[in-house]
Amino acid sequence: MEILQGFDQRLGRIAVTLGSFDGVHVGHQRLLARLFAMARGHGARSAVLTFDPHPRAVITPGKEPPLLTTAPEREALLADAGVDLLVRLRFDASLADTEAADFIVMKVLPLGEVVGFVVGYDFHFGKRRGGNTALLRALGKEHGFLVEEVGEQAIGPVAVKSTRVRDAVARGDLAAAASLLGRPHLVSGRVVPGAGRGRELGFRTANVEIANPAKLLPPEGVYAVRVGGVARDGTPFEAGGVANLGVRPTFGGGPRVLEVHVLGGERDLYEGEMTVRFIERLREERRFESPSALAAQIGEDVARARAVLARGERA
Amino acid sequence: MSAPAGLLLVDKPGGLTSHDVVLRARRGLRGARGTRVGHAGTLDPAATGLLILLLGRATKLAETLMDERKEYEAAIALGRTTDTGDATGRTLREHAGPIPDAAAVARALEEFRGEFEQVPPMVSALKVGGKRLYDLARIGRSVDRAPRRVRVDEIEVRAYDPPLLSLRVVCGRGMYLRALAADLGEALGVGGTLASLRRTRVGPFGIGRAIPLADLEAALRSGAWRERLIAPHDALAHIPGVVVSDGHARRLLQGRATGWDDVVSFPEALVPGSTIRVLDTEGRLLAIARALAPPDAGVEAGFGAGTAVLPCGRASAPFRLERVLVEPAEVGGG
Repeated sequence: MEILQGFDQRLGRIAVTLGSFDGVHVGHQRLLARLFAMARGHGARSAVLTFDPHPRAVITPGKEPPLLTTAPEREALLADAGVDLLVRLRFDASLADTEAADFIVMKVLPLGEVVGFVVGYDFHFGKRRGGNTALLRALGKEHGFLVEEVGEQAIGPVAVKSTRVRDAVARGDLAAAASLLGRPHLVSGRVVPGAGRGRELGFRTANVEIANPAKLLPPEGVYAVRVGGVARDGTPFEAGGVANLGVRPTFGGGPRVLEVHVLGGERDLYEGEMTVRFIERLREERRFESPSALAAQIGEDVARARAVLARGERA
Repeated sequence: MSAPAGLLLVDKPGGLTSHDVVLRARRGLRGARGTRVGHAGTLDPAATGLLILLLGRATKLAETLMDERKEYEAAIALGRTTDTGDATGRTLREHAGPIPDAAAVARALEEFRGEFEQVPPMVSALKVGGKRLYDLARIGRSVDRAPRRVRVDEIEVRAYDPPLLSLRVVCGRGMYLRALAADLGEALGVGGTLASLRRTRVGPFGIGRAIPLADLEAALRSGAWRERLIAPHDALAHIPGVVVSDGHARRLLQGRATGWDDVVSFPEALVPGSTIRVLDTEGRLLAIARALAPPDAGVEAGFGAGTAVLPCGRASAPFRLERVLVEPAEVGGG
């Protein structure tokens, strides 16, 4: 996937979709499948246009929703999905003030030879969300491009919307979140030095920095996780793990940190990048009488995490 | 400057009808207002790819070009049936069971090679009883359509990500890819819909020579379109040519009978019934004609270029004119 910034691009023949794609959930994935089909069918490359910051952060500051995925996480997921081009567009006051038709005609169409758009069922764009699919279709008839609308994606009776996924993650229902996302909820970050408490207890942890305060995390507690990333020596790794997501009062309001005990051997992960996928919530965070009581509980957590992860592998 | 005549190759965008493209070209033509513009074979609004625009006298080549083989990139969504046969239609059925695997698809495709009968889709420009099928479809009527003989020369799987099947299809005239998608889906028992269609070749012209509509419109405004215009003669260079004598050209175009004595040269293998070009000695394209079946083959005859065995009798007419492309008055001789 090629990443480009701004409207000043000559992208050649492209099939386009626009949106924030937070979570890259099942509904987004279905939309992307249609985008790829359109692109391949008409000799074009697939292009995803995203806005940064989230339009709501500009229009109604302070009311933007927490992020299921940070920009780098989202971009990695879109690349994995097979997107050819990702165009990051700065969403500022002047863009927010652009009429819907002008936005398409003056901003998007000059990006390249646009064969068509694939949009979601509730697609709105332009100043005060004044543009909809009907307007886009009318513009398509005038300027010569296709418009495909992807219907509301349902998994059973539940429609996939980012808000539903956020609710599921926020209440710790990771199975529901995973079925809506089509994958486990995840967090990626740099491995930073920790307090060293884990090592003292006999359970070494890698501490993943959560740099973006808007990132949505499940409730505090202990989780069975799968981790992946690149170790310090550059070798990629995949493993199971136990993660503790907690408050670290000593650090005050600093960045949140996720402590992960990686199963299956010692690795030097410090300063590497790590992605943590939340599989199942094991228990809530608790205070313990003594370090030995905590160590015993962690031993139990590890055994339960192994069982949870083994179950997942068989399935 | 003489009235322009020739072909312009455009990569039709989706969302526009082929006729919309023709209208834009006609409106845009700078310095040649009033020139006739047509196209050589409709592409559905949702389809993209090569659309041949015909200017001036070249509009007479439409029929000949429509007979050319066409190549398409088609994507078929298996498991879904719509009333139009493509993604723009209303969903009639959605298959709930498993989608056939690649081996089953490959087997089913064997039935769609060579010549076979195809029932045209209800939403098509064909006429039944003097009415366009799409007009009937619009008022909710469905009528029996006579199957038509169609020909697929090549059909191959480019990619199969179930339920989406990408095919390359080379076919003859009158083929409806929407009907092919529906029929293939039917053969597999799950239904099928044309998800996307792109025409990549018509006869000798590949999509690589076509330009986007926006570029064409710019060329029409600036006058640069003249450099892109493909002369009728070049457009049909792949079709066998018969050269008639200068003295006979005008009479020929006036409809008088032509004998082999009036022919100066002809290709060695002239297949009776095939389309041929009729040229004057300067290589100018005079007409499109159909070679005639020989009443008695193998008559030896001498011509300026040498001696050859004629494929048909000296006494019979060598071809029948189908379309005259120049005015008799423009041709010398008498």
